Parts: sequence; structure tokens; C-alpha cells
Amino acid sequence: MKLLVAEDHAKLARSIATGLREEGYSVDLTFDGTEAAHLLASNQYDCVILDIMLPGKEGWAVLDETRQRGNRAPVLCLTARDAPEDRVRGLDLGADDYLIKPFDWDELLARVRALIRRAHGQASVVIRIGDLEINTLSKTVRRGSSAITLSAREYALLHYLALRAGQVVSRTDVWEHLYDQEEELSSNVVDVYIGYLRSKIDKPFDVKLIHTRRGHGYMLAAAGGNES
Amino acid sequence: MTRRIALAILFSAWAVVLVALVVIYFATRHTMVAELDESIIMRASALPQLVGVSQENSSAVLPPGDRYMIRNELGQVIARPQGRLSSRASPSVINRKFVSLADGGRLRSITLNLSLRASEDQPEQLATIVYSAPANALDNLLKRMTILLCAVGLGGGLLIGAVAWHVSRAALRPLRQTADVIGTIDERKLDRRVEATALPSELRPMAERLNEMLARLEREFAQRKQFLADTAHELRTPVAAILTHLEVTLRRPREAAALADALRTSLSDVQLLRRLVDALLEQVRSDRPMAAAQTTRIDVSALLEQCATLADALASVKNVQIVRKFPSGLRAYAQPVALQSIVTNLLANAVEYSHADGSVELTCRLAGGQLELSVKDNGPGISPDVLPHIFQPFYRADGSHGSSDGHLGLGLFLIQSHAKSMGGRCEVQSTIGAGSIFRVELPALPPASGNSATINEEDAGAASDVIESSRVAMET
Repeated sequence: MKLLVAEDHAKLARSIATGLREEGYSVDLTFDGTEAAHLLASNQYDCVILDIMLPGKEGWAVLDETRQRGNRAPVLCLTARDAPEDRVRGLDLGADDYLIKPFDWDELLARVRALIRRAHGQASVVIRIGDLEINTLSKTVRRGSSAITLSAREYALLHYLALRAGQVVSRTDVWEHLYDQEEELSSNVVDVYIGYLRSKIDKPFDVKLIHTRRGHGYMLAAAGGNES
Repeated sequence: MTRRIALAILFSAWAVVLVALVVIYFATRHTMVAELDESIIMRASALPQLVGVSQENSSAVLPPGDRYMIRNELGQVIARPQGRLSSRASPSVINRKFVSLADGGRLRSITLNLSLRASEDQPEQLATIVYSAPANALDNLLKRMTILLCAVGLGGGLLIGAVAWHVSRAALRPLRQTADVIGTIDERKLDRRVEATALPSELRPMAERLNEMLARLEREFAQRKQFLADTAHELRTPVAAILTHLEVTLRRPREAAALADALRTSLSDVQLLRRLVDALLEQVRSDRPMAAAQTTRIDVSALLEQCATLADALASVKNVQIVRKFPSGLRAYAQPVALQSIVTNLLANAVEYSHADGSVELTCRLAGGQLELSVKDNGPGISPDVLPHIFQPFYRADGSHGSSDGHLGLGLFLIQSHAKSMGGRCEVQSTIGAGSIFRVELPALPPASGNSATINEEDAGAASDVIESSRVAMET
């Protein structure tokens, strides 16, 4: 999952980014409104944490501009202003949630998880595909009766595929949603991690869940469809 | 007020009515008595003919109750005057009076002189007639009139009282309505106004002044509310930074170096918070009316020198020269704590925005009871679109928010706050590329007597904190 953090208080922004990265998210960070708008226009984020009082361009303007462009990425507004009219304005401009500074870190994480879930039409914290069970809260994966241990990157990839279960997900999509600007990775990193996932999730079992659509990408689904 | 106005109307109107009633009574009485007298005189004048003609007992032909007595010129009572009324002479009234009888009735008795002659060729002779007629009818009438007039007086009094009460209430109703409106006003309803046009013209200036006061209060409250909201924002951001940093750090096991770094970062945030709280407290203190009690006669030059020395440390880092342009031994009435805060803040600002190797000029002079201070820097100057905002609390020229750069954005706001509370003012002139001059004018006269007696311990304590608070200001 890729998140954008736009917050002008540098120390706060870095803490948020560090904390989120440690939760397995990839995070783009900016201290400036204009840059935030630019990043939003050129990237697909699974969730945006947007401070309202940004230099360059106010959070309101960034939000308005993003929604005007048809970008539906969930936006969590972060602000020290708690007047009801500010909240109403934020929600009316298309913010999905609102958090007042100072906030509780667990609450921020819970809200980010909820926003990502909701954006993918997922109501429960547990995603089931066939006999595969992904608990997004404890970040544990089971298939049938056996627990499967995944690395953070493997989990992130599986989580993303599971959120879009039944859809073909392109390599570019995976790339865009799982890796942030600070990472330098080889171009076949997606294929490599798909390979790792397959060996842990599909190899010991008869029914295969990860399907390759040559030239299009990958799909996580219970019923195989046309394997090629 | 209503009762007083009502009583005033009642007593004045009632007095007029009572006087009118008394006048009516006496006028009527006078007319009635005059009519009776005229009738008695007529009857008395007719008496000679009457008794002269009648040979019998004269009383038989008189109206009932009338009686008379006739005397001749010599004063002898005569039973029957001889002759008839002289055609030339009219009867002259000598005396008229009421005579009380033993049975409680009254008589009207008139004494008059008549000239009589027995026949045309005989000489005139004078006769005095005392003629009395009962005054019962008159007395009854007057008694009834007295009762009637008393009733009118009392009833009129009651009626006037009622009208007066009503009139005074009606006159004071706008005042009461105004009071009702004022009674509903509190700090959340300061936008309400008294309806001045509905008031009588005497009350309108009061209502207008009241509305002006409300407008001032509304402005002041709005400013304070904004300041409070801004302050909350400024306090929340560093708190959020500390909280998030500590929570994220504590989530996983860390190495000692990472923990130390987290503590250092949080410490610097807490120090920022402390400076913010100090600056806010200073602002609140400068706002209090008691601050005026701190005004004393001080050596202004020594105080300025002290401030300049404090600023020298800051200036030496950038190799900026602080040039003192003020005479020594300048003495004036001032508030040392506030004055020191103003000067140190201005100097710190000027040093901050000066070019390296530049200079900052501090001037001061006493003119016309005013202390005129100025701090001039040769920095880049302030652009005209920023200039009107620089005295706003938490305003930052670069459009950033929060104090992540270590600036609180309160320095100039504090300077102006202090200047205003001392009855002075602060203004700025700036030229892009040439630098800025901040000028502060403060009254340098002793405070009005009475104020100086209200120094309390707390303020005395604040005065001893001069150095402490100015150190805070330097960091601000």
C-alpha cells in the first residue's frame, strides 16, 4: 500500500512516515502543498494524509484540485484546527476522514486501515479467498488449517492482490502501490516477489490461487479462470 | 423612576384641579350671595309701600321667615314708616352679614338707608331698615355643592393618578425594552444592537454610545477568539510532533542511539513549547490593567545599554554591529519590564534579518513627554503585501504555519501589545533592499495619581523578573 504524507511540520512528518513504513506501507513524504498536488497528480496512492495548513498551497486547495481531477484516493485530513466549520468544509471538499492534532498513533493507523479497506469495498478486517484467510489487523495469513509466514514485502503484495481479488493487477499497478520514491529496485522485483508468494501460498496446495495473465499481470482468485 | 414621574404628574395635576375647585366654589358662593342680597334689597325697598299700605300686622304680608326693623333718623324704632320711597334716592347698603339663629338656621341681614317722604310737598326723611331673610336655601345649596366638589376632587385625584402611572410607564417603556435587550447580551451574542431609532430623542445618544461600545467589544472579542484559536493551533502542532515521535519510537525495540535521538528531538520540541507558553504568558500579563502600576522613573539609557549588550551576543554570530545612538543618563517614566521586552524583541528581530557584517541602529530620545525609540536594520526589507500583517500573532511571511523553524511568530505582536498597554504605539517603515525601521512611541510621564498606589506584590515580583523575561524574548 502506498501512502502520501503531506505535512509542513518536518519533525512530525518524518515521525509519521517512519511509523507508517514500519507498518509495511510505502510512504511518499512532502512538506509543501504545491509538491503534494504534483505528487497526487502523478501517482496512485491508497491513502493520503493531508495537513490543512501547508505552505505553497493550502490543504483545502490540494484536496479540491485532486477531486476535480477525478482522483478518488481516500484522504485523511490532519489539522490542529478543530472548529466544526473546518471539519464540515473538509468533508464537503471530499475528505474521507478528519483527525485533530495531536492524535493517537493507534487511531491514525486504524483510520488509515479503515480508509484503505473502504476504498476497496471491503468491510471486514479479514479477507477470504477460497480457503486463504488474510487478517489485515494482525497481518497473519492462513490457508486451510496451516499458518503461513510471510515477509513484510510478501505480505504487502498479497494484501494488495487480495484487496483487488478477482481483478487482473498489472505489474505497473503493483509497482506503483508497493514501492515509494526512496527505494531503488530492479525492474523484475514484482515477478520475483510473485514467485516467493507462489511458493508459500500455492505450491503446498492443490488449488492454485495466484494466476498469471500473460501480457496483463496477475490475479488472485479462488476459481482459476483461464490459466495460461 | 416610574413611581417618581407618576407622583410628580399626580401632585401637580391634582393641585391644579383642587385650586380650580376652590375657585369654582367661591365664585359660585359669591354669585349666589349676591343674588340673595339683591332680592333682599328689593324686598327691603318695597317695605315702606308695603307696610305703609297695609294697616294690619305687616309681617303677615312678608315672605315667610323674613323679618325687619326700621329706625328713624334719631335712631328710634318705628313701627311703620310714613311716606313712600323717594324717587330720587336709591337705597344705600350700609352693612350685610349672616346672623346665626339659636335653632341652627342662618339669616342674611342687610342694613340699608332709605330716604322717604310722606308726600310730594313734605321734606325727605331718612330711615334705616335692617332686613333679614332666611339663608337656608343658600346654605343647603352650598353644602351640596361642597360635597359634590369634594367628590370631584377625590375622583379626579384617583383618575389623574391612574393616568399619570400609565403615562410614566409608557414614557419609560423604551428604556425598559432597551434594558431587556441589553440583558440578553453575553459574549456569544455581542452582535445584538439596541434599536436606537425606536427610542425617544433624549435616549438616542445613550443607545448609540451603547451600540458603539458593543461594536468595540465585538471586535475585541473576535480578535481574542482568533488569537485563542491560533494559539491552540500553535500549541497542538509541537505536541502532536512529540506525541507521534515518542509513540512511533516506543512501538519497536530500538538501539540506544535511536532512543537518544528520539529524546533529543522531543526535548527540542518541548523547549519550543516552553518558549511559546512563556511568550503567551507575557502577552497576557501585558494586557492587564495593573501593568500601569509598574510605571516608575528609570534610567532609560542604562536599560537600553543592558538590552543592547544582550543582543550583542546574538549579533556577534553574524558579525553584526549594534550601534547605540542615544544620550547617556536619559531618565523618564516607563514600565521597565515591558520596555525591556520591546527593545530586546526589536533588536533580536533586526539582528535576525540583517545581512551578515551589517549594522543595527538603536536610537532613543525624549520629546514632548514622549519616549521615541527606533531600531533600524539594513536587511532585505519587508515587501508591501506582507507589511500590514507583520504585527498579527503567529503570522509568518513565508506562508508557512507552525513553529517548525523555531520561530514563534509572536515577537512583533508582543511589542505592539506592550506598546498599546502603555498607551503608546509601534509602527514600521520598510524599503525593499534597504532595510526596515521600527519606531515605538511611549508616553514618558508619570501615571495619573491613584494608579501608582495600586502596586501589589505580584507586580512587584514581575518587575524583578526583568532579565528573566527579556531572555525569553530574545529567543522568541
